[in-house]
Amino acid sequence: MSPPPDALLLAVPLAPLTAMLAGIAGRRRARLVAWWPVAGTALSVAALLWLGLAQPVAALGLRLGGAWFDAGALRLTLGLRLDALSWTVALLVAAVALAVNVFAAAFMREQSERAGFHAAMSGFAAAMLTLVLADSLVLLFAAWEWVGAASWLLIALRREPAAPAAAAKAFVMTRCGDLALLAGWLLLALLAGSTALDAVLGLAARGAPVDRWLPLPLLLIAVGALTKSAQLPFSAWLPDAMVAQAPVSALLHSATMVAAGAWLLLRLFPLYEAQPLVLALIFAVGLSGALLAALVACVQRDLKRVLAWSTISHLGQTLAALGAAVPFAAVFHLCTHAVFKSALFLAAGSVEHAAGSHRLDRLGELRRRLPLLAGLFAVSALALAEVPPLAGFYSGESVFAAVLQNRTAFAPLLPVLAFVSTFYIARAYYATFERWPGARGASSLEPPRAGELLPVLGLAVAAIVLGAWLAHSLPAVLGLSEPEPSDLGWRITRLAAVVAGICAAVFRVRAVGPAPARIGAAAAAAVVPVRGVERALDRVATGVPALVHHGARATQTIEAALDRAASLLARHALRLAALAHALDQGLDRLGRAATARGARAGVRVDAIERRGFAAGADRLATATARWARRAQRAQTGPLYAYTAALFVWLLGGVVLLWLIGAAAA
Amino acid sequence: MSAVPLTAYLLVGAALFAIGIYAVLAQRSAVMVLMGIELLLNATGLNAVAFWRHTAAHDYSGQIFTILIVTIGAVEMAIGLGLMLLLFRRRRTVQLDAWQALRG
Repeated sequence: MSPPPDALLLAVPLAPLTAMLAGIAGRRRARLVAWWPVAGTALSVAALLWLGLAQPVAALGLRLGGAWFDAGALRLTLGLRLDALSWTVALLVAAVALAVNVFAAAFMREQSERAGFHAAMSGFAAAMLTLVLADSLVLLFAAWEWVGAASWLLIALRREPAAPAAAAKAFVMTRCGDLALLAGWLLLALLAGSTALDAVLGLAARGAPVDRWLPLPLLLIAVGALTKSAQLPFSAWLPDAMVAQAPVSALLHSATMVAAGAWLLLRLFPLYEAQPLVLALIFAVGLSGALLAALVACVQRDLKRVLAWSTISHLGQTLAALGAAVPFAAVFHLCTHAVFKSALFLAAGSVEHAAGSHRLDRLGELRRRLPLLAGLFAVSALALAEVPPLAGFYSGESVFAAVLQNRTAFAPLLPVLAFVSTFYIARAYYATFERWPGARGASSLEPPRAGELLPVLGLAVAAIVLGAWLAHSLPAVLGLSEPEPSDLGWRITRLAAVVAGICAAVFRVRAVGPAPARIGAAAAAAVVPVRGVERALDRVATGVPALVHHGARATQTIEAALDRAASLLARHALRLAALAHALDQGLDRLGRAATARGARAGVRVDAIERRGFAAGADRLATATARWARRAQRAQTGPLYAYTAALFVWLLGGVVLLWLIGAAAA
Repeated sequence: MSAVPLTAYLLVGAALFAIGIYAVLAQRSAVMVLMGIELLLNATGLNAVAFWRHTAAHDYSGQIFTILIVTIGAVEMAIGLGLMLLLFRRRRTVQLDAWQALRG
């Protein structure tokens, strides 16, 4: 007897929520506290699989919920919706969350704040699943904010000096984007008359009177999504958020939370389809962000920061695919990116545990002592680098085909992006695991635990297998159209770019170690605003001495002219002096006469003032003081006197009003 | 239509209002003053209800206004009692004669 599909659908977000509450309630039981999130997310995965196996996924159309209340012309709804798109992404989120939570159970074993950490991870999983399954803009926004709050909490739980500032930066920056999102969805809901997704998506078919207003809310929502997905220029919070523990980076800041922005745009895609300008903007921001972020990743000295900028770059590619009006490619890339990026982050966490640092210049030569971890990292890195037949290859092909089909002019940028992506990830791998000149390697190595390696193994296997499998099954499941496949010439070009990137990175790291390449330094300086301002000031500083030099020469010329005038004056000085003396004496006589007259007038005015105004003012002042003292006696002190006075005033006022009314009638 | 004439209600209301004014003006204890204020408010409410019933019984705005008066009276009592508590903590007495700082 299978449980009713409504209950299964409710169980998907509620299971992690219950796990969070159980984790909070049972926080003293140290043994159990790490397994609550695992249980919660496992239940979610099971519920989703059950729902998906009971009927073909493409035909899924489960709705739960309804109207919450009506406020004038606006109907607020609450609900969950399960269709093929949300099933796919929810399953992805739940599966990655499960893997990361299993990793966290082993990773966080000695940390003191683990009870709160695990509870927060369950809470985050519940929030993210609610976000994906939401059928109502209200619920989606509430889940969006909850996800942001969970991110703040998880970053702030780290006992490190940089953590609170990084957590606040992440929260405040995404909150500012959320303001735009709020304005956008409120406008959409007002236009549609209801917050239900059906009503909102139906706006696309409404036609002329609504179409004029649609671009504004869609633009605002896009701004909110771009902030959450850490696209340039709103990306400053993501690299700083890497101060959090590895499971947090793997779950939130690579696979799921930052994908929420792309998810929102995917959900509302039927509305975006009809707005070519907004799509073009999303495409531009996504592709340019992808390229710049990839360049910046080449100069990072910290393994996790490389992966953070890589996340920004790949999300940029997802958004570029969306901006090229091929949502299939965006979903595909979202899925594969979640898998290989979380595998990379978890492996980086294992490396940090084993070697004690994740700075590239303190790592190196780890392959011999951590062979399994190195292999898993290498597999995930190759998946990121779009090497066939791994997952990244298929999704990268899909994104490239999408751009080639709809925005052909920008297609040549993608092989360049592939080269740079391969460069940074190969550099990261090589600097961490292979020998390079000056590599000190780690002195003491703690072997990684089985609990840490198992999820990474699972995710790496998924990264190998997922691409081909999704390429076959996803179009049918989602019902979205695939882009036309690119021709052989382009495929060879991209493959060549990948191979070139690997070779370039390997040769460079073998030669000079993980020192940042100049290729990325320019982009890094352009992207970091402070350094850009520094360079501008530098240019000003070099220009100023030249200006001063010109000014000095001009001053010299003026000085010479003044000199000549001065000598002329000196020659005629005596004549001028006599004239001046005569003038001076005349003025002196005038001045003395005026002073005498003025003194006499002053004496007269003073007498008038003393007798007239001063005495009168004195008398006025003393009279006022006397009357004031008399009036002061009315202030007797006790409250009833004042209350009585108040009532007398009121009575008088009432009588006055009555008289005026009687007179007017 | 009730058998009690409008004038009766108004007289009772006026009497309550007068008692209320006496309590506010002549009582020395802060608690008694607050009671007097309450009497004033409720006398007004009685007037409102009486006029509503006798002139426009179909229109519910009279009821709404009376409920408003009661609510505002309740809120005012809360604030008044809170102030009274704070004053009590200062001088350990609720006799209004203890506060004569306004004396000129």
